[in-house]
Amino acid sequence: MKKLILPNEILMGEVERLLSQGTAVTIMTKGNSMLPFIVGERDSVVLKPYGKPQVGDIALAHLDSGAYVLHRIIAISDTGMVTLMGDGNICGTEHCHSERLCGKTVTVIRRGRRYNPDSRSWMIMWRIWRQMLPVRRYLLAIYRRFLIKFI
Amino acid sequence: MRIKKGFVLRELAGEKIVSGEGLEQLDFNKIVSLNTSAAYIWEHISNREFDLETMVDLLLDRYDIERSVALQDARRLLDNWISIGLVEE
Repeated sequence: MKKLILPNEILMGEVERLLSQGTAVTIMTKGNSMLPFIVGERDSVVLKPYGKPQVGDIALAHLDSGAYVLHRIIAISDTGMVTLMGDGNICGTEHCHSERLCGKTVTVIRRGRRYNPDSRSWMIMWRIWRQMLPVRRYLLAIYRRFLIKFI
Repeated sequence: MRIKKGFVLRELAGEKIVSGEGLEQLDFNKIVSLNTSAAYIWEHISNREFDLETMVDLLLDRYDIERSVALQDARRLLDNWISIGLVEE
């Protein structure tokens, strides 16, 4: 199967438009910022239009800078400001208003298998992962070195 | 035969692509990219009944080629569209 690479801003603009009209969209992910939950260039995600955002969601956000990120919501303020952080990042967060959230990840397709990121097991894994932030750097190194081939 | 309902041709980043928009899902891992002549044929048959002959005639209208060449190209294209499920009888 031929791979068609589209410039990110064009593809993501199209994805945002489709989501805003209610279409669920499946895209291949890029980058390592959501390791170990999503492996870029290997795993795909199914996005759905946003309902009510919640901490723990993996959201596609259109940041004020124009960039799009697919990161985890780690906080939501009373005024609707959302803080996002990649599971595979050691530091660094993004901020945007909840209106700038384009889509919520409802399925992660890892090596052909479909997973629900809202499932109990995924949420437990994420809570543990969040607690491990101080040693995340080392866990990521182990994952990338040894485990990425298997899980 | 006809193009199945829900498939739309549009231009994205200079590429002509066919996707299943209109259906509730769009999988960007499963889009079909068409070259210029395939896109030209698609545009002329997407809303009506057609067969291999229709495609051949369209090619002959636009390109200065032998009928046998047009037939071969149209056959290959149609076989491809059928095999990936874009066309229904």
